[in-house]
Amino acid sequence: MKILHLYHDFMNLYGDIGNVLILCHHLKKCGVNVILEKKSLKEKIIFFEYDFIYIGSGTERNQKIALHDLKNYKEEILKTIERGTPFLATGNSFEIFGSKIHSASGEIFDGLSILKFDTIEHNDKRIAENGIYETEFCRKPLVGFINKCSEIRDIDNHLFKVKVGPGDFPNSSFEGVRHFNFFGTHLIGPILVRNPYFLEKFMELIDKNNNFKNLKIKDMYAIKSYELTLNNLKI
Amino acid sequence: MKVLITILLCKFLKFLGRFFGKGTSFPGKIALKIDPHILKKIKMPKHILAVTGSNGKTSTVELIAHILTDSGKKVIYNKESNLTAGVATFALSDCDLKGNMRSEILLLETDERYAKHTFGHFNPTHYAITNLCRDQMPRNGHTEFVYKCVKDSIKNGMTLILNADDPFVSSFGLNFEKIVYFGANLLPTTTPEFTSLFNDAALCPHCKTHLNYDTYHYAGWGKYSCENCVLKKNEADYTATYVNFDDDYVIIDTHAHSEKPESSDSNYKLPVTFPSIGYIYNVLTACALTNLIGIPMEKIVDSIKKFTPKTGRVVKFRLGTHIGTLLISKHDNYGSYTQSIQTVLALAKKQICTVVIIVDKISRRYNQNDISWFWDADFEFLNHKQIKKIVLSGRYCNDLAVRFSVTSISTDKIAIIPVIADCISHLKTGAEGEIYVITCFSDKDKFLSKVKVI
Repeated sequence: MKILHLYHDFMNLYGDIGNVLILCHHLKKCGVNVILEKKSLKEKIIFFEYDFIYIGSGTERNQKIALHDLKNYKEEILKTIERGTPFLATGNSFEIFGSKIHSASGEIFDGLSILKFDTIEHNDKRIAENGIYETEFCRKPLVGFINKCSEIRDIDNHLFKVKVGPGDFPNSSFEGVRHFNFFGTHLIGPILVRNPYFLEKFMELIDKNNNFKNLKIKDMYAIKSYELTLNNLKI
Repeated sequence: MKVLITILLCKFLKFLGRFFGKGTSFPGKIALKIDPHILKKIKMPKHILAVTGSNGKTSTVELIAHILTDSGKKVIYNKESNLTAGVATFALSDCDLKGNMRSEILLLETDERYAKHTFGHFNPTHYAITNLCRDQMPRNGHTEFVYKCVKDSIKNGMTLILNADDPFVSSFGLNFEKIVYFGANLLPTTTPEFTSLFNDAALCPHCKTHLNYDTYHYAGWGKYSCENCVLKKNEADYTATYVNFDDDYVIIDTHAHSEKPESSDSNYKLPVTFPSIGYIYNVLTACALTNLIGIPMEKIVDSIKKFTPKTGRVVKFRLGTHIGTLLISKHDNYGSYTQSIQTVLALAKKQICTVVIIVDKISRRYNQNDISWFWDADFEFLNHKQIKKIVLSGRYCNDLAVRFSVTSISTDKIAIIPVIADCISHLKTGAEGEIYVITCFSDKDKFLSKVKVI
């Protein structure tokens, strides 16, 4: 099984590397032979080769560098997503896949336009909050933290329903985007670390041919942490 | 006349504040209300030294104040508040009735995000920037945001004293005239390969092309150069050429400022009372700042040898038959944790030990903290044969357990004990060798109140 950690070096702002580490850790524990490849600028990337692709959050400047580089691969990425390859983009990295990013200084960047939504960045107004989020994909709600300086408008295919915490824009009831198996969310935590049930579902998704039975998270500490956090955040 | 009244009022309020326990920024705040330009109207001393950065500000300012006082200089510095109002309080209190400051040197610790506002009122003659690290991300967003704030605080005419090892800080020197660099050539952590979990300077802070590294100290610090622009690690004017935590000393080379370059006269050997990488950088910053305003290196070295830090970041205790040391670290702050982990490692090389990590803090702002920083901290380094046991405690012990599950540290070594009191009982009988506790300001007393502090 091959996993791609995209721009591992400069899109890794909020412990994002934890997502990749925990996923590989549990896949290995379940007997899966995992090959992790880390790629960055100036390296040839063949998107079709991977069973799972991950990209984390970056500073506003670094996000634009990633966007610029990914434009070289737009068609391949589109096909990869439409083929159903599991793809997780956390933090502001998922903004890259939308139509436009309006920067705080007034510049407008064309996104990859794989999805139809716009991002508006603010410079001084950051949102840093906890939250609880629900999705049909997972029987248990997700917990985590959001640290962003942007709002997103006009998402059609929402990933989460907001139970507690910030959404795509002030007072929005939705957070993130889902398109085939592309999951985009501002949720950090890291999300796969703090949500063992979601991680389990994700592992099943990656194992698309059902080669591995019993892809279960047996880490009682991860589950305890999750339960504690969920209880603390419930209103 | 208005100046006189403002000064008198400020002095009076500060005097009253002593009885009512009012904060040190209040008198300054009122003074600035009466006359927003008051700090421009008083006569500042010849030397105004400012220190900012993510980590090490307070300790560095204390060390500088000690060196200057020890050299007979009349120095005034802010001990508590580092925002504009706090600076106004102590600057105005130091004035005579004509509005002349009495001290020869004004020494300031300035908040890295607010320095740009404080410096609107006056400019330091010498401005030291210690480092820019990941620190309180929910509040600060990210390092690049703070980087921009610090950049806005830099004004022409200042002498910048910059950390050459930190690409963010070093880049402030591009196209700037008066710069002095400090840095380290070789630290106990220095490696040719990248061993940390993140590097905020993976891309050049100036032009956003990849930085190339010959060596890494940790995270993005080291010997680097940009593929595209002129940013590189500059040869430092004050260099730690050798840091030895086994025999507790550091060699500092100042050949760039010596009259006899390359001679051994420019090398100074200093004892390191406690093996902390942060301390090495504090010493370098202090040497640079005080030497630049005319204190000879010999005198500086002599003063540093006599220095005992006031703000106790290290607390010794006894627990049963064990001697212990608590290292106060800032949660949510990569640099602080790295330093503590490296200190434990240096001490563990000398004798076997037990390491305790307590994360229990409940933030005032959040009912659940952001713990993504666990995945920045280099816990992997605690995999050392002399570290016999690791105890994880406090409210976030489960999250720590998950974090440790992806290190190569054997689970047999790790105990997870949620309640701090239970953790202490466990240590009484179960600890091996000396005990090192890593925790933060707000959690330290939960541990220290139950052991014998020595």
